[in-house]
Parts: sequence; structure tokens; C-alpha cells
Amino acid sequence: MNASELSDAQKSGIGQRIENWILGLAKKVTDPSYRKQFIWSFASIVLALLVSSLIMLIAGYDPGLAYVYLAIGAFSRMDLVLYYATPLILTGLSVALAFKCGLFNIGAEGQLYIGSMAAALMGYLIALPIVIHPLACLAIGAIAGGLWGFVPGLLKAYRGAHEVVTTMMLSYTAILLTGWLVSSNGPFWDGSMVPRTPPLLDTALLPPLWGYSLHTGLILSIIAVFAVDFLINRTVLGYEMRAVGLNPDAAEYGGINSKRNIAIAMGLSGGLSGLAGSEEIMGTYGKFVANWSPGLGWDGITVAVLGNNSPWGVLAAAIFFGGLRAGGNTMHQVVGVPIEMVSVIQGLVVLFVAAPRIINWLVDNGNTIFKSMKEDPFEPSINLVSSILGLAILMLGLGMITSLYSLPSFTWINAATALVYVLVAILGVMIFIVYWSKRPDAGWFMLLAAVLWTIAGVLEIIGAGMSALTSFILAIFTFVLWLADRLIGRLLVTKKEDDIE
Amino acid sequence: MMQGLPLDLIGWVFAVTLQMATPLVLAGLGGMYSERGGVVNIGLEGMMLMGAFTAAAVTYYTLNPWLGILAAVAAGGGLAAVHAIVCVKFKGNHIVSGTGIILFGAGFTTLMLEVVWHRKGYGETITNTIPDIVIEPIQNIPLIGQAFGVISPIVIFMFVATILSWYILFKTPFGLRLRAAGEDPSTLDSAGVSVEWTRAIGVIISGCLAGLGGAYLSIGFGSAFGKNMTDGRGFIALAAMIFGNWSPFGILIAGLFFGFLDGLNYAIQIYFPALLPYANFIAMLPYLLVVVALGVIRRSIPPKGIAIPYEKERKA
Amino acid sequence: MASKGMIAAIVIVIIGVAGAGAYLIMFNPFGPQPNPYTVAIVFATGGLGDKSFNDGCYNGAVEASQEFGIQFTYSEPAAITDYEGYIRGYAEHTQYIEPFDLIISVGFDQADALMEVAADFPDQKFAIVDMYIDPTNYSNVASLLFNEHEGSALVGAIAGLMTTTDSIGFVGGMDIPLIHKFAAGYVWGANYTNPGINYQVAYTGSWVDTAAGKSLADGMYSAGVDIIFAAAGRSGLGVFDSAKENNATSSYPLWVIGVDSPQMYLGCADPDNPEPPTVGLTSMLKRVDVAVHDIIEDVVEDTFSGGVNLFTLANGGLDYEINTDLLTLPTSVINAVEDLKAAIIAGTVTVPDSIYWS
Repeated sequence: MNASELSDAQKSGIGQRIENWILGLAKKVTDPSYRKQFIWSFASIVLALLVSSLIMLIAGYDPGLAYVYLAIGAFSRMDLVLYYATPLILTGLSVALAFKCGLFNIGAEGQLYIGSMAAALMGYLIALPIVIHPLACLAIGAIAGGLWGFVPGLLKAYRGAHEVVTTMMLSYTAILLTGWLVSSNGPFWDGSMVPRTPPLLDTALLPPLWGYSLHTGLILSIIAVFAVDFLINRTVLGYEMRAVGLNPDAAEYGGINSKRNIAIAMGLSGGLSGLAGSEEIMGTYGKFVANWSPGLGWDGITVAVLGNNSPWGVLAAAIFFGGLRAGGNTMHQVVGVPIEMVSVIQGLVVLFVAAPRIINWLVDNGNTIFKSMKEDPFEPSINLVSSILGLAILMLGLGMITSLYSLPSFTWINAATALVYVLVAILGVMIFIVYWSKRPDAGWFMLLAAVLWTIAGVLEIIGAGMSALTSFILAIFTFVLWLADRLIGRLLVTKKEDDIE
Repeated sequence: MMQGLPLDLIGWVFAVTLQMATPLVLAGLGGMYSERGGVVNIGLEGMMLMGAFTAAAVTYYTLNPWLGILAAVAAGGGLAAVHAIVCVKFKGNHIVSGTGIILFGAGFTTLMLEVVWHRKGYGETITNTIPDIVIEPIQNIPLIGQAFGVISPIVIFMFVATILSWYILFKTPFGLRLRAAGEDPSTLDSAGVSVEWTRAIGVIISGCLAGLGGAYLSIGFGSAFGKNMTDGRGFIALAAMIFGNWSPFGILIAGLFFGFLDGLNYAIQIYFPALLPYANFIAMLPYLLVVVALGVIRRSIPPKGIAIPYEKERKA
Repeated sequence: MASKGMIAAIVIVIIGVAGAGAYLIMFNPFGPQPNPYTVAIVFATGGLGDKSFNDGCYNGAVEASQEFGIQFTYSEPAAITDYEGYIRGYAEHTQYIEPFDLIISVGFDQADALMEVAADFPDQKFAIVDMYIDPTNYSNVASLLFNEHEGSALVGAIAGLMTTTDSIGFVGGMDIPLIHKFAAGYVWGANYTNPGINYQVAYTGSWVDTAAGKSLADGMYSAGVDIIFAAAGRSGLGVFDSAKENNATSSYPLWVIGVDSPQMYLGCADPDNPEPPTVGLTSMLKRVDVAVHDIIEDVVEDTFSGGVNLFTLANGGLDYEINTDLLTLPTSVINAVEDLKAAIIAGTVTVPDSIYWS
């Protein structure tokens, strides 16, 4: 960027703003803490995929093939990815905004239903010209959802009613209420075999964007990301909300009306969820159908926490989830892995994201091991080999259980063997942990593992299992490692004694 | 169309109340152990599913429901241990971790359902479910006979667990420590007790109880595991815990209240068919009542130190 | 500077991922391959395991695959929004060289998605179970429809004759018109053979909550009902549980009527080795398996045509279960039901298809 451009930008206010924003963004990206965040998230995903592949192995699926088709599905159908992400962005923002104010809006699902119902009614009952009609529908949807969130906000602020309970209860209420409104007993039923409203007027529909299913709602969702970012980081209201979220008492002391802020935050949060519902009804469904949402509000919680409650994080997390959904569909369709596998992956990603220190711990200890490897290769390599063996024991233990439940009949011996393998698998994790963190008493775990493998081998022979040999080989191997560990320990001690002498 | 005696009707509503309340109260009590210790546990749903699945799978293989119960408690506790490791050891965000537990529990159990029973969505019927205890003397007493005459041991355990929890929480050193870990961890720490272990044990107990609640659904009251069979009960248990103000008897009452409203809903459907078109409103009633009750009657005050990871270094 | 190196690393990673993605799209190393499948099925959101509707379709496809030596593949969408992606995925058949001969959508809520895709692939043959799609606009779509109320009337008639308490019950999954069809036929049938019979109708509000189904059934049985028709998906399995338990203490026999698939075996003490006695009185058979089998047969024999394939009592698409290994109904009951069946087929009586009482 040269000087003349810069001065041009300074002349026009908007240009200046965009410029500042880009510079700010660049600053953020290069900021060490953001980079750390990025690395954490990336490592979480990798770790989650590793553990998921373990689970897939247990369940008898080919993880490699599954991941290839997950990737193909996600990358070849970007429109589908964004389509799935569209409502998740908004529900994620909704939950994140409430979190910023220290509130847990667990009832985004209900606000979504109320918003979508209001939008659907506006969409088919009232005739309006194009452009105005969808805008009116979205507005009414957001207002309705907002009111549904505002009530628990008020109750929380002025009556101390816990928002987790009230929003959840109102959520169930909303689903039942909208279900009745479109049922054959309700006023808005279209007379078909299905509880739903008549189709929305064509003027109320959101026009498609590109691909088969993507609609203009996506643009709206992205605008909402900008808006929420602006609200939280650039306005007085946002500042006050964050202050209340950090510490309501301190905020109150600092002259901020925390009650007002809590109520407003819940209202805005509900509004965003309502918008999400309206968007889906107007862009995808074209009519309100009872129980239509596949848990978008609940997923919003996951998206918000994965995105660390920041608007841009939410955007990234929603797209990531959209990718998993789209890719997961392909994976299910082609490889035959159940769609629930996606939920397992999501859960593990979230679990790893929850504790960035797990990754720190892995990296730090790994560094220590590799560093000391240069100075004195013996001891750390025992640690390294043992850690890897721990993981191998975990996998083999789990694999053995799989081979057991494919046996034709159940016997008590087999049950006992399975139990031993469960213990062995747990021990495998323990071995990894103690060796990776270089605990001095690590050796005993290895000995215990050798004993357990031997027991398993004996049980396998009695129970006519198929993997007795594997068990014995592993028993010998772990025993040798234990011996090596002891021996080296002994040698080191004598060496030190020699040094002292 | 009213055939049964009103007395029968009331007795049946009592029975449904107990049946529906048991998983809620057990999981709610579990949540209490965790939250009293300062760890938010929204993963109850995942732990219940894990318990329900493990109970069914182990009973299916071993034909012994008591082993199934044991395994369910262990599995729930195991999943809770993951939550404890993430939240307590690695100081992760409690709500994030809980969300992960729910997703993982729901996905994993559905996946393993296929592995164990080689079919989709619904496991084979378990024939050896937990046998009900028949108490002859009160079986024919009106009102309570239906509810207490034939009773599942898990339902009895629910009452025992409530009393026990009250005793543990308020009368034992462990209870004191647990509450201290939730209210004022630094004092506990200066008293020389490990905050981390106290909290972790609280979380693991919560998983054990939630697992038992799940087991009641699959092999106590029901007789098979189906995917997502808890149907949101983990969240209702969470609500019962808050509604019951984090105290054992409060949770028992809240759970029974939710169960009773379920029973009432069914009773109205069956005995007052004229109201059937408005069944949704009847079903809505309990939820609205809770909102009103919370809004009008009293504030909910969670433990002070909740959701705040305890850092030893912070101690001055 | 370290941070520059880090940025470079991030950029490399992004480029790498994008490159890998582009590579996978352009040179998909795994395909396209010859298509081993003739038929693709997209199930309803409940998924397999409901022991009635989806499982019925699955069984029909298995039967057809064995009979005609073909293979089929399927997917279980998690949400309504997934339908179109799956149907389109099969219609595009990117990973296979040849297209599928037939794509079957199961469930009424797939109609919108199917119409979208069917318009884009006019040469691809589609079938949809349980929904009507206008053949004038979509000549490539066959609609497989059922007169559920007729079958329900037959089991209602059995219930009307078999009840000892003059009181029967209906447990539905949701309070929706589709389920009202079952309820209406059932109550009408019972009144046909037993005029003025008492009936109770209730809904679990969920297709998956077995506990709710069991509690509701407990209530109905304790209210004097002795036969319950369970049309509630997986929630209906709770009704079987309830009947088995309450039967032990009841002074008169309690019964359950299953739905969609033959479910009498579910009433046995051990459903995996069905042996009498059973609490399953009969089942209303909605032969989705027959429908799926027949439409596959049409495709295999090249006689497929779009439009409505209506399954009624007359063509065997609906029926009631008789399983003499488990339970033998009295001849008088069978005769009465057969008479009603004949009358419905002949058109001398008409069964209502929506709630006609209030």
C-alpha cells in the first residue's frame, strides 16, 4: 500500500474505516494470543479426528476412507456447507451474545420457533410488495424471538430467576405452542395430512443465492456477524454488557445498570435466534412445519462455545460445523458410516477446545523429551517408546474387546477377559500420561500392564479366544520395557554414585 | 367414558409421578454434587445416555441386570471423569466441556448400539430387566397401592439417595469440603485439602448418579435401549436441580413435581377426551408454572465459586 | 522473525488444505466406479429401528434384492434439511459411472425436496412412500399411497369383538392428521362390530419416548381398557412393555395391536425367540414392504410408470396380522372381519379417514 492510496483513504470516512478495520484485523491475526487460539483449535480438531478414528475402528468402519469422503463431501459442496452454516451462525451469535453478558441462553431453540412462526404468519397472511415483504417477515420474526428471550431476561434481572431454567422451559413451551397453532385443532393449519401452515407467498421468500439450497439468508447472517461484532466491541451498550458479564457487582459499582443490560442482552439474543428461524422458514422450508428444527438452537450453543463467544469465532465454527454436516452426509452415503459419527467428532472437538491446556501439556512435555534426547538419548527414548507403547496398548485393548463381542456365545470367561481388556486400555492411557510427563514412578504401571496382558492371555486360552498369542507377546514386550526402565534407572543411579565418588 | 374410579386414577398418577421422577431426581442429585463442588455439569444428558446404553448392553451380554446397573454407574462415572479431567485438571470451560460430553454421549451410544445389536435405532428387548419389588401388604390399599405396591428398587433407591445425599452434604466432612470447594475454594485449600480432588470426586459422583438414572430408563422401567432415549431428560434434571435450589430435598420435590405434571398430562388425555384438542396447552402448563414459580416466588442462588476454575497460584 | 515464520506456516497450511481439497474434487482418487447398486433409499428422519415404517421399507428392499439379485444402498437423514442433499447426491451419482435405476424417498416430508430434484433429473426414476406428487408435472415420480384407515378399521373390528371390558384405547405418536387416519379407522371399526363401545385416544407427543408410551398405556389399562392400538413409532414399543407387565396382575387378558409391520412377536416374553403366549392381538399391516418390493419389481421388469400406486385392502397393500403360531383368534372373529373386509373392498361401507367424533 503506497502513500497516495493512504491519503486517499484518509479523505473518505468510509475508506478510512475499512482501512482501519483491515489493519485491525491484520493486527489481530498476527497477535500471538490469536495465533495460539488458532493453533489450539487446529490441534483440537486433529486430536478429535484421531480419537474418532479409534472409535470408528472399534465400531468396525474404515476411518481413512471415511475421512477422505468427509473431505470430498465438504469441499465439493461448498454451497451445502454454507447452507448448513447459515442458521447456525445466527443461533451461535445469539448464544454468544448472551454469554458475553454472563448469561447462558439454553433456550435458543424456542426463540427460533417463535420467530419462525411469526415470520411464517407474516409471510402468508399479509400481502406486501417484494423486498419489503421479506424484510417485514424478518423483522417480525426477530421481534417475536426477541420478546421470547426478553421475558426470561426480565425475570433474571429483576426477580433473580435462573435463565437456564426459564429459557429452557419457555423453549419447550414455544415448541408445544407453535405445534398447536398449526395442528388440525389450531387456527393456522393448511388442511393437509401434516401439521403446517399454508405456503408463504412468493414475495416473502428469500431468493436463492447459488447452488441448489443456498439462499440470501447467508448474507444476512454475515451482516449479523458484523453487527454483533460492532455492538460488542464498539458501542457503550456492548461495553456495559461485557462488564456485567465479567462481574455484575463490580459493573453495578461502576455505575452500570446491570439489570437493564441483562434484560437487553437476553432480548437481543432472542432476536438473533428468531431471525435464524425466520431465515430458515423463508429460505428453505417455505412454510412453518411443526417440529421443523433439527436442534439448530442447541447446536448454536456448541457453535458459540467452539467460537469462544466471539462473533468471528462463531462464523468460523458455524462453517466448520456446516462442513462436518455436509461432509458427514457424503461419508454416510458413500462409506456407510452412521451420521452419528459426526456428532461424536463434534463432541470430541468441543471437549478438546474446552481444555487448551491439554494441548499445552502434550506440546510442553514433548518438547522436554525431545530436548533431553539430545543430551542423553537413553532415558528419554525409554519415555518416548513407553508412551507410544501406552497408546498401542490402548488401541489393542479396545481392538481385543471388539474381537470378543463378535464371538458367537457369551461366557463368563469372555466377560472377564473383556473386563481385563478394559482395564488394560485404561492402563494404556495411564502409561502414556505417566511416561509423557516423565513421572519417576512410571515403571510400576508398565509392570502392571505386563501382568494384565498375561492374565488376559491365560483367560483367552481358557475361553478359547483368538488373541492369546498377541496378549502374551505384548506381556513379554511390556515386561522387557519395564526391565529396561529399571536397568537404566539402576545404571543411572550407580553412574551418579560413581560421579560423586 | 369415565370408567375407572377416581381413586384408581389418582393412584395411577402417583405411579407415573414416581416413574417419571426417578431419572430426573437421580440425575438432578448428580448435578447437585457437581455444582455444589463448583463444576457446572450440563453434560447430564450425555451421561444418562451412556448409562442407559451400558446398562442395556451389559445386561444383554451377561443376562444379569445388576451387573448392568453396576456398569451403567461406572460408565456414567467414566464419562464424568472426562468432564472432571477437562474442567478440574486442565481448567477448561465447564459449559464447553459439558456440551462436548452431550454430543459425544449421544453420538457414541447410537454408534455402539449398532455394534452391539447389529441393528439400527433400537436395541433388542432385554428380558432380564431389574425385577420390581412387590410389597404385598400395601398392594391393595387405594391411592398408594398402585404407586408403592409394585415398585422398582431404583425408585426406592431414589428416596434413599436423596436422604443419603442430604446426610453426606450437610453432616459429613466430605460434604463440608465439597460445599467449600464450591463456595470458597481458597479457604479449603489453606485448610490443606485438595480442591481439585474434592471437585473431581463431586463430578464423578454426579456421573454415577446420572448413569443410574439412565439405566432406570433402559432396564428398570423400559426394556431396551433406543437412540436418544433420554429425550431431553438430562436438561429437565438440570432444571429440577436449579428449581430445587441445589439441595437434595428440593431436587426430590422438583423432580416429583415434574413427574406429577407428566402424569397429570396423561391423565387428562385419557380421562377428559374433550380436552384432547388442547393437550398441547396442558403439556405446556408445567413449563409455564416453573417459569412463574421462579419469577414470582424466589431467587435461584448458585454456589458462589461455580464455573470458576481454581488456580492454586492465585492464593495470596 | 518468528511471527513471520508463523504466518508463513499458516499460509502454507491453508494453501495445503485448499490444494488437497481441489485435488480431491478434480482427481477424485476413489472414483467414479461402476455402480453396484440398482436402488437407493432415503429414509425418513426417524431412521431405521422403528420396527414399523422405515424398517418395513428396508425389509421390502431386502426381499426384492434377494428375489431379483440386485443390490441397494440407503441413507438415514438426521433432519428435513438433509433430504435434498441425499436425494440429489444419489441422482448425481458422482462416485459411480452409471446412475441408479430407482431412488426411493420414504416419508411425507420428503415431497418438497423430491420435487426439486425430480425436476432437475427428468430421466431419473423416483418413488415416494406416503405422499402424493402430481404426475402431470413429475412423470418420473411414482407416489406410493396407502388407505391406512381401511386397515385400521379391520383391527378396530377385531378389538370390538375381542374386548371383554367394552373399552378400547388408541395411543398415537403425534396429534396430527396422518395419525388421525389410524385413529378414525380404528374407532369406526370397533363401533362397526360393537356399537357404542367405549374408546380412549391419547398421544405420546414423541415418536421415540418409550417411557411415555408405557406410562400412557399403564393409565389406559388401569382405566379399564383391555386392547390398545399403538401407532406411535418407537414410543409404541412401550405399550407392549406395559401390556406384558400389567397382564400378570390383570383379571382379564390385556392386548396390544401393533402397527405397520407384523408386531405380534413383540408381545412375547422373549421377542427374539417368539413363543406363545403373546400380548399382541394382531397388527395393522401397512405393507410398505410390499409397496417397495413392487416398485422395485416394476423397475427391474421395466414396467415402471409415474403416478399414484394406491395400496388398499383390495390389492393387499393393507391387511391385519394373523400369526397362528402365537395366537389363534376365534373363527367367528375372523369371519366377521373378513366380512367387513369384503364389504370395504366392495365399497358397500366407507371408512372415515379423519376424526369424525368430537
